[in-house]
Amino acid sequence: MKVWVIAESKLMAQKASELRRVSLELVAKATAFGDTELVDVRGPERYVAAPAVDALAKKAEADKPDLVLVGSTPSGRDLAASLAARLGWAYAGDCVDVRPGEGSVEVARTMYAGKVRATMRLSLPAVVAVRPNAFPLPKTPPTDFQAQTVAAEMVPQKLQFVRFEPTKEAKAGVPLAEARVIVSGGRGLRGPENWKLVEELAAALGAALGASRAVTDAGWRPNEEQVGQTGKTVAPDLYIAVGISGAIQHLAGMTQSKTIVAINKDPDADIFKVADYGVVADAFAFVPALTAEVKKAKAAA
Amino acid sequence: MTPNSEIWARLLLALVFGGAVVAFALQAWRLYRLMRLGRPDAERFGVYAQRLRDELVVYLGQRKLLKRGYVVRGLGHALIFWGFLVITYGTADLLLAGTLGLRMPGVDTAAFMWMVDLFALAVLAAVVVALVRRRFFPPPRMIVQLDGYIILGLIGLLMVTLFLFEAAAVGGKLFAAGAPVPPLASLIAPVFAGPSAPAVFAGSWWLHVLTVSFFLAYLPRSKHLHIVTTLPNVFFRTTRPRGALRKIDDIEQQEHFGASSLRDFTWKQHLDGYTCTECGRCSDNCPATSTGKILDPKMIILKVKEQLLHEGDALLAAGDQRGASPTDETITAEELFDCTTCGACVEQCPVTIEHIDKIVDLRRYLVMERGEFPPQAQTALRNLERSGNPWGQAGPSRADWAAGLDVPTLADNPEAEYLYFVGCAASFDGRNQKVARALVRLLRAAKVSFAILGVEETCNGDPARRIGNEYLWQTQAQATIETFGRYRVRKVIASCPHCFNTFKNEYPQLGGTYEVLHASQLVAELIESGRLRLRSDGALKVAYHDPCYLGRHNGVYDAPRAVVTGTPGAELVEIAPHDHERGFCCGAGGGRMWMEERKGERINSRRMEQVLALEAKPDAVASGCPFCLIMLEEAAGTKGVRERLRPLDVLELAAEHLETEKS
Amino acid sequence: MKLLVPLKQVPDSTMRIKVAPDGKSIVTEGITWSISPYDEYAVEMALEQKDADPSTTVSVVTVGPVRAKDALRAALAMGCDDGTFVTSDENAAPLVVARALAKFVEQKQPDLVLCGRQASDDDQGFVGPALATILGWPHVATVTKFAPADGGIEIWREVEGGHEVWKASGPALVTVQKSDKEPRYASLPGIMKAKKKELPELALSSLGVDAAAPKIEVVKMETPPQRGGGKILKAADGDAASVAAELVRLLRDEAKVL
Repeated sequence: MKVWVIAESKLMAQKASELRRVSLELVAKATAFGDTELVDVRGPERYVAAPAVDALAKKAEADKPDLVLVGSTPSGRDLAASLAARLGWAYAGDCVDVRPGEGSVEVARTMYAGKVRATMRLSLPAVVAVRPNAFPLPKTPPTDFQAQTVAAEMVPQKLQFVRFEPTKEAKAGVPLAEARVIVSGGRGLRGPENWKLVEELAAALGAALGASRAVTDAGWRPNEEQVGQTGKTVAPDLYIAVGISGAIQHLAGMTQSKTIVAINKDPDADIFKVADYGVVADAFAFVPALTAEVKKAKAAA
Repeated sequence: MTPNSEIWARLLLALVFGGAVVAFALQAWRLYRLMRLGRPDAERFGVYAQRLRDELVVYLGQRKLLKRGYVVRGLGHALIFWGFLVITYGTADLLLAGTLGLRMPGVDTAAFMWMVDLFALAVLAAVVVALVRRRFFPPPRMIVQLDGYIILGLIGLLMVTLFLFEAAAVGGKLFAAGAPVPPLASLIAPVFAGPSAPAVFAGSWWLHVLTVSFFLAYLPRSKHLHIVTTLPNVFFRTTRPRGALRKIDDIEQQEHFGASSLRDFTWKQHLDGYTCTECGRCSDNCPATSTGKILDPKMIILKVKEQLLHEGDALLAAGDQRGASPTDETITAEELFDCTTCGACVEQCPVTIEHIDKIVDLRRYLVMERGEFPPQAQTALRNLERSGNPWGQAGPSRADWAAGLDVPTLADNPEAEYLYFVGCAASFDGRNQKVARALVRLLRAAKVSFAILGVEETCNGDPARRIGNEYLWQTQAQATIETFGRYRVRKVIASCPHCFNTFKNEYPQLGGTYEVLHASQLVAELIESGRLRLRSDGALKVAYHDPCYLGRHNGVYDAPRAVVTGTPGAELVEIAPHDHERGFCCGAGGGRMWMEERKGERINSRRMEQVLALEAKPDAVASGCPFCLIMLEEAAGTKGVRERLRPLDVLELAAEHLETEKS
Repeated sequence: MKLLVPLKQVPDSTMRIKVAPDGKSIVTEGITWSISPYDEYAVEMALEQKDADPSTTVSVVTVGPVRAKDALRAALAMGCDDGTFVTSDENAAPLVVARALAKFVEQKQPDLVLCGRQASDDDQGFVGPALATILGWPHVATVTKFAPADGGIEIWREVEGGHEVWKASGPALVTVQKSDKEPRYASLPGIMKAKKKELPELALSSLGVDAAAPKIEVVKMETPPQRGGGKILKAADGDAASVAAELVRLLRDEAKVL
């Protein structure tokens, strides 16, 4: 099976490190089941679909790969979907696994906003966008693949880049609404002076800080950190609730999170009902230990 | 006095007083026409016996002025009012005699003269006290304006001139010998016994009459018009149950919703504006006002009235022009959505103004016609529409709280005597699920035949109606009535006062009439009749917090208290003075459960302070409402007092003391 | 300005999704259907432009089974001007849907097409980019704002660290990430008016689109274990470190979120 992996280049480089990593993950995976070619689209500095799609489609029609893998980043997904439409090939986005079969490929992905895990079978040829971190990063970089460069020309077209408007860096840290990891603190932390506990964990995880309504109402934390029905509704990949009992108004704002970790010393706390991983423990002893372990794991990776 | 000059005097008096009457009538006619810009209002008629009784008690009896916490001040007002009535009778006599030479019956009796003099003295004293209080110790919520001083001054002047001309008449021996004379005025009569007596008499008499005339002409532009308008305002007060909001008939056929214009209020709602005395008792008792929110219920009434007085004439002249809604002009959405609909204002208003209806009418306009209201309330309503509960929890998980309890659904057991309508809070909120489970244990222990709807239950629409989406309420209510009908439900128990209230008081508007009980009523009865056997678990002091929709809106004060006192070992503590009809809202009513509370002090925090300030130092604070419980839990947690002041529901208290259960 | 929002009706986000006995589809009984959330943001974004400039027209179109008409009515109730219903069976191939929409766009000739980033049923995010590709129109993904500008439309694309501003000088397509404001609450007069509005219907086949599409089939569906069936770890005194290590391992290897 002939597999293309579309490499990130400046074209899609919004966060080079992540993309490079996902490309490597994909290449390593692809070499396990097919003749792999890493295709690097060189083109305009800022991603826009049309030139990349034009160049890739032309090349694909000539080279006829069976499967095109793209990292499922915002730009990657957009590129993958556009390319599939242009070629009239099968498409699946945001996949977490890829299993090639006879004349087809099976992918694992979620549907219904994460409520359903599905396996889909796509006829070949197909374009598949795969989430970063879906496959382990190989210990040694894969070598068993070809590489080629495709030039995408930014023909004068009806879409022009005008300017970049950086987000006002009013506050350090990750904004709550789009954070992939959130660490939230509740009344169980007993007072604002204990917040460095969750702040350190959040820093180790690269997470945004959240809080329960009780905490923002008490003035321990600013209102914009409130997660819940009357605060922000969030759906990160990982939500860690520390010392939060799980009042309905809080749950209404975070149960869409993909993975929920609850840390509470009361084993009957309602938060455990929605937790994927519950830790019955005193936050003051457990959270520092967790922070240390996270740091260890990050250092190892 | 020569006959000639007497004729001139009569003519002059007729002219002066007649002029005042005309001035009064012209202004009153304008006010009447402005009032009639409002819609017709059928619910203001019928049940006349009750209306007359209200008139006697509330208007003549001054009952609502003499409410707990206001007795002394209220008595001051009552004295002025009753004195005013007696003296007005005397004044009528004065004017009749002075113009037509006719007398009112009984005015020349000693008894009447005693009454006049005693009341006049009392009024004078009350006026002085009121003036001093206004000037030096103004009550916090009262608007102190020139108008108040003018009126008090006029009343004082009336009393002074009354005494003066009475005394001069006695002193100048203008009374027939042996006839009764004004007793108190006689005491100062010797001062006027000289030759100047006729002049003093004439002078003070004319000043008195001029004051009366001026008073009359001035009245329609003063808040003191309430001495007139209270009469019809009390008579036409609503006979709807307190907890029931007005239904919008044929809602799908309407072009406008709620108060989109001054024309959308009923005439009675405009009469409310004319009747407001600006006393501020509503504001005084309003949980929003007293914790620093923008809402002041009195200002809602006054702003609508101001707009009517400013724009009403133009609207009358323009015929069918609609004009702006008060929310487009002077009343902000924030004010309207500050309201918890707790009913403290309506409870306290001495002249039976209906604040909540006005606020909800304005909300209805914002919600239904404009779609502009607080985003969190939008979320709650959207959740309600889509998933059948304001928290947006998945409908199929509605009966999860009952897991392992083997609670029958009506589908399993259509013969059950009672339907237990669980409500969204007890279905989905972890804390309140425990209350639902407690009730199940109690009902089981007393062998009550009951069932739930299970996943067929859906929100009955109450939050939608309070927030102002009447349409959504009607939709939800009709669906619920249909479900009830399918199972031939006759008796409903609700553990949530909001559910209880809408079933009991509002569903009949759509043809759904059931016997509705709040769970505490049934449990109190089960304890009383001995069907529930409770045991003591040591002494426990329990403060009882009155949920607004149980207490004020439905008068259910005793049953939940009976659950506390019926629990061996438990001692009931009142959160005085904020108990019973003066209960202080938890902050979650009127849809506030789902909205932000950012301004001022949090209402539940204030409520918790009131409990913490009790000398009796209760061990627990019990309520009978899931929203109150959530708010009390939150306040207790934030204040870090949960260990020593446990928030709970009276149902939990009883269930924990069941004989069959170990502590 | 003429705006067009193609939208899809999906199970409301508050619904609990159950897999049907065939293991390849979901139980639709008892489901409340709504406009897909990102499409609703697209509608809101279009309506905000209409608020700013009342000469703007906002059209909506959907391809789907009969129940999807309700989604059009919901959009009309929010303030959209007209809605077109393209009937198809329950599971029309995304590529065919994109082709049908392309035909419709060619007839309607809007200045800007706003699609939601992805429909929250299949979560594919295919139709938007595909529609632009088929039309040969420029498109911008993850858009949070647009505004008419000199001789075109300025488009804000959300990227890490800020926004790229692009300018389209001709018709263009955007996939919407989020609007400035939450989607508006439909007023009752809006709902009543929407109920009475004609919804022109087109059969998918009448648009003359190529029905051939690559095969994409769901072979298995399952719901993740119920929330609350989660693993409970107990950290008694002293073993905090080992429990923490175990949690990190689970998050990394099992949940794959680290």
